[in-house]
Amino acid sequence: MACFTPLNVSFKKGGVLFVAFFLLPILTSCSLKKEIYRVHEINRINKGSEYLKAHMKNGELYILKNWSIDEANKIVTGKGAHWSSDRSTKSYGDYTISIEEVALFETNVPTPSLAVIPMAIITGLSLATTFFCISNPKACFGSCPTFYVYDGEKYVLEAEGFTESILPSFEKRDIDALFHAKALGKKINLYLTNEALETHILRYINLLLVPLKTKDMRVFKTVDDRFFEVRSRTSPHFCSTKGCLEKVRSMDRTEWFDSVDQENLLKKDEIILKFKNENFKKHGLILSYRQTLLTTYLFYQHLAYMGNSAGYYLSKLNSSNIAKEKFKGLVGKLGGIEVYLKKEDGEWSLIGKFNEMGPIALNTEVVLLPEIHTDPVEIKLKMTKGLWRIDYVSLGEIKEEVTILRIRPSKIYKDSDERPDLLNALLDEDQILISMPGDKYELIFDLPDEKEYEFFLETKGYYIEWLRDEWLKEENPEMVLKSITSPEDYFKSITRDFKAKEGMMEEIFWNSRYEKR
Amino acid sequence: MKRDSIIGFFLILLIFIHGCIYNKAIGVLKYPDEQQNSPYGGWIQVILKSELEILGELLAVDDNYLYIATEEMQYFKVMIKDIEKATLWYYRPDPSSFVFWTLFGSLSTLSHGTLLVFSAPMWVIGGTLSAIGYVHADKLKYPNEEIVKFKKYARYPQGFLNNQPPMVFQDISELQ
Repeated sequence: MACFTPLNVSFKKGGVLFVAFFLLPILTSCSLKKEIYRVHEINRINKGSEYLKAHMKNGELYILKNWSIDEANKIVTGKGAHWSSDRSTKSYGDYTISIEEVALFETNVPTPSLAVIPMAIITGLSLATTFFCISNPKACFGSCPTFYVYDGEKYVLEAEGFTESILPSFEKRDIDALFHAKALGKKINLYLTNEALETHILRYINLLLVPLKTKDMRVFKTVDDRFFEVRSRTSPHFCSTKGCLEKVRSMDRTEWFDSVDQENLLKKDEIILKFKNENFKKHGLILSYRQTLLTTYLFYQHLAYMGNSAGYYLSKLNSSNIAKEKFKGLVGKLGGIEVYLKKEDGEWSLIGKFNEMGPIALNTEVVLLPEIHTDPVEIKLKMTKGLWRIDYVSLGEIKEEVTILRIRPSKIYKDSDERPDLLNALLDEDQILISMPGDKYELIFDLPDEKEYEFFLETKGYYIEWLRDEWLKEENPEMVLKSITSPEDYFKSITRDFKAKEGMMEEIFWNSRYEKR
Repeated sequence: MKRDSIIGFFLILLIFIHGCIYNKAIGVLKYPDEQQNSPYGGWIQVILKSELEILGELLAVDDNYLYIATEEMQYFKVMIKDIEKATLWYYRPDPSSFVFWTLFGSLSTLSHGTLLVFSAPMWVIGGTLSAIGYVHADKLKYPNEEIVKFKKYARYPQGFLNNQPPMVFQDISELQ
């Protein structure tokens, strides 16, 4: 056995030296992350960047340190250098720059080089998964296309497009309320992202507008895509489930939800809500809701059971009407949120159902109610236990059905580059826009004027899930057969496995979003 | 003696890695901490379909042309449709720290005695590939990547607005 090693030498000289030898490569191995921002993206500029570059419309350049942005006065200040357009001359000083004269902003942030982090060779799809995803593959982030809108302060995730369209033959139109969207002057900007290991195929992305005539007016869509003006809204004063009332009275993203039943995923749950009868002529029940991660888990688990034969099963599902009916039957066992109204005779009457799929973005919709003569107004919501999260519920005064104005995008950017080719693809229904993991697009819509509008997103397309290596280990044709022949037994048999993961799924899910570096 | 041979091998490896990644393009670029406040763009090597090669700073990209300034301060515009391939570097990578780690990691296996034959190569392979991977990670290559992606690494990422570049460009097709 050799008696000399550098390690031994280092220890003799001090542990600090030993540590430094191994940390130094990590600390000194840097890459540079460059970001370009257009003037209207000023609120997204990375404030962690030591330097801010302002590329001027006349070709000159300012490189500023200790910089700050005053959006109200539309100026940028900082200390640094000013370069001429041909970079031949330079001056130093404190500068105040008018944002109106800037063409682009740029930041460059040194980041640890990814190549340092494993020194080993890694291959396969596992390269794209985070630590959380590896530890619990069916909690991995998955979604259809996600859309971010400006809410007056920041960009928020507001919609997920065509969640049910998991195959080409499932392609359909989807409309989602952009309840918090605010225009920027006469434009509205939308960010479209692919944050999962999926391929997204988009046929069109449109905005639907309804002018808001008064400050207290909002517009809500029904589950069958009709649009109604709503004036007054009343929150419930009673909820039958403990802890529910305070969570559903306002649209504040604190949601009520329950956990899945211990023995049977399909077990139903009910909550009863009471509202003061404000004697509206016409009522509607407004709900802001989304699914829990149960459906994501079930979908991925099903793919895992299909294993290496997933391609065969999915192609059958895509092309066979019988297979589609079986699949819809399986999904139908979970059901939506059924709305019951208590009539004057004390009997509950089924009025309608909310059933927009997707665990990521809240869906805000209205179910129209018949004439109500009781006080209080009693509403029962019946749903599969642990499947739904409710952020807000209210009784609204329905005024009239409204017509929508449809506008199409005027520009689309990918990685800050304007892409007329991608815009053409979205404007022509015979063409498609394909989005891969990590892709991010900015869509610009030109509004007819600067009035207040209610915005809705209209999309059409489908998406294909990428099979993770980790799922293939669970291939189980018997379970696939069980899901087709005995769906109730199938759900019961996977309940225990889901219950074991239920508590941590949210954290794993949100920590495993795919992001291009 | 055996240990000295091994150390000698890794010293040669160190030279090899530096040699294999160094070229003129890398030589004129700045390291990341310098490039973040540099007024210049990335360095581009363009090989045309006519086999003519041009190397210089990328100034701008528009729908039809790349605009390049050579080290000799000559200004050329190149039609995108005439490009066979192009490589852009944005900053000078510094893989010496990888080499250091590789070397050190490899030397640390000397303590394994007879296991050295099996353990050392993994460090070398991993380290070498990581170093080269690091270098490759900082490159953009056309046609693997679309030319539009090069735009943000140009000296003027906003392009020449109002078609007024601050210098006169010679169309490189006139030289062919």
